[in-house]
Amino acid sequence: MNQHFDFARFGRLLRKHTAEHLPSYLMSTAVLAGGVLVVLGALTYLTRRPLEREMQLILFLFGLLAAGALFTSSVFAALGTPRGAAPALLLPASHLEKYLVAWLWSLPVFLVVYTVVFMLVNSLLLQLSSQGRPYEVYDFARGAREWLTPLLSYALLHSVALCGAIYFRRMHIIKTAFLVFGLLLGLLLANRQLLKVLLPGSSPIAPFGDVWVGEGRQRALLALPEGQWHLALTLLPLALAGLLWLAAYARLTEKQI
Amino acid sequence: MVRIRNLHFGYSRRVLQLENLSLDLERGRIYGLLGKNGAGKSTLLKNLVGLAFPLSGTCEVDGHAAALRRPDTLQDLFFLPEDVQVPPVSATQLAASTGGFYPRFDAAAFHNYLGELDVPSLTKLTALSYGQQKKVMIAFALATNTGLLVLDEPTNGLDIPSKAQFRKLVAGALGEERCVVISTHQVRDLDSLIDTVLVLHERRMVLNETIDALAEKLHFGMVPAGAASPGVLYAEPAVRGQYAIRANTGGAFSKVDLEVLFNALTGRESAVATYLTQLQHEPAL
Repeated sequence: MNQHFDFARFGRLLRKHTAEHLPSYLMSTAVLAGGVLVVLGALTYLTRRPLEREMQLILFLFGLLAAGALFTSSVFAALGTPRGAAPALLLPASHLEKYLVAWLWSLPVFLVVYTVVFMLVNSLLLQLSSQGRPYEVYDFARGAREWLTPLLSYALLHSVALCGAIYFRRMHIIKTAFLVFGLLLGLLLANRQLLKVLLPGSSPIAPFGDVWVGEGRQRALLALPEGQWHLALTLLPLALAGLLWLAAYARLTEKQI
Repeated sequence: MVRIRNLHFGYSRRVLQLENLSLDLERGRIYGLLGKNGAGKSTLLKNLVGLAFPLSGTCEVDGHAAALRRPDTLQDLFFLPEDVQVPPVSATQLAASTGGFYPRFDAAAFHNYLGELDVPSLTKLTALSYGQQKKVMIAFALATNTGLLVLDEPTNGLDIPSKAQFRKLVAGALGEERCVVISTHQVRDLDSLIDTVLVLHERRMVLNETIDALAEKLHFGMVPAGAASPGVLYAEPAVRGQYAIRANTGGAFSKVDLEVLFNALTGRESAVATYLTQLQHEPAL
């Protein structure tokens, strides 16, 4: 028997997780649908017309990140207490299989469920509010450009939340958010200090952004070519997410109570 | 089955809970792990099953480090913590969803144990009382038929009839292929159940002897109060005089009183421990 991954054992673990969590997941889906309905409905009511396509995307993205962070932060909640951690860690399955079950439920499954719920509620509200007027639905089937940004944003946020879920014992989301904001602040300050040393005349900019160098009429914009910039924007979050997923897995193998 | 060598463990390197501990546990035996509150019994059990990792030394189950938590090792090991947590399913659903992880899980035996412990099998476990939940997990632990069964304070939370039933079930579930370790600070609960006594005191294992060996080496019984009694290693006041442990030089049989033995071993200066150590180092005739 493979000590890292075995399909039969993984299937059994997935079935066990589903049997034990499905009722609470269904209830959470209903709450999610209610939340989306309230937010989209309130905005539609206030503007008295169907929501614009860009607004739909913004709401979709914010909802995805907020609900996703909340859900992912709870996937390792059992490991936060000794009484929950003992049966979870000693269940005869590998660390990889246990990790993959949490990963699958919180990333692909959550992504599909959230998207379906949002699209259904959004379509319903657009139809109700249009009253015969034309409207535009945000449609993922149009191409990669429509879903790449939400997907990459969620992948990065998911990896951060998953790390927080396994590293912290309680109040996972609060502690993770605190740490992330602290790190971002540190990164901004370090970036500023570094730029002061490297490029004394430059204006303050965000990390990884374009920078103006030089003085007076001799100023020039230092930026990556368009193609490279898009590539970096795609690969950087993925690489960072990959590192954090690995860190979360490593932490699971080292978990003690 | 279990091999522990020079184990040092502490949640920080400055304060050790276990120090230079070595121990072998074999199949076909029921070990009773005794110790005062905070002696490190649960910590030792966590090291033994791979929930805590040694600072130095080794702790192996069937030749593999317990800390690796290999599926092969885990499917032949069941640990019942003192404080149990049950999933929101019925006992029957628990058997269906979790029993499959243990190759020798016996669903019929599980339902039989549930019947003997008087626990409903179709009620959601989270709706049961804490004592009932613990009984379900004891029944499940016994039905897994794992080679190593580790029970941490299993009788805490059980009512008096259930404690007797527990002893009966554990005694019945032991086979030649099974090693059972039961930790408790309620010595009476293990009476007539265990065959080997382990006593953990001040970070060290101060006793690791079978009940038979103890009965051969020590004599337990009453001595008149105030009278000079030669060979008394330990004595404590009782209703009719003093209850004493003496060196069993005459080969007479007496029932090992675990509670008195435990008190004798965990006192300030234990003559019993010194005597047993001396016997171990004497050459066999």
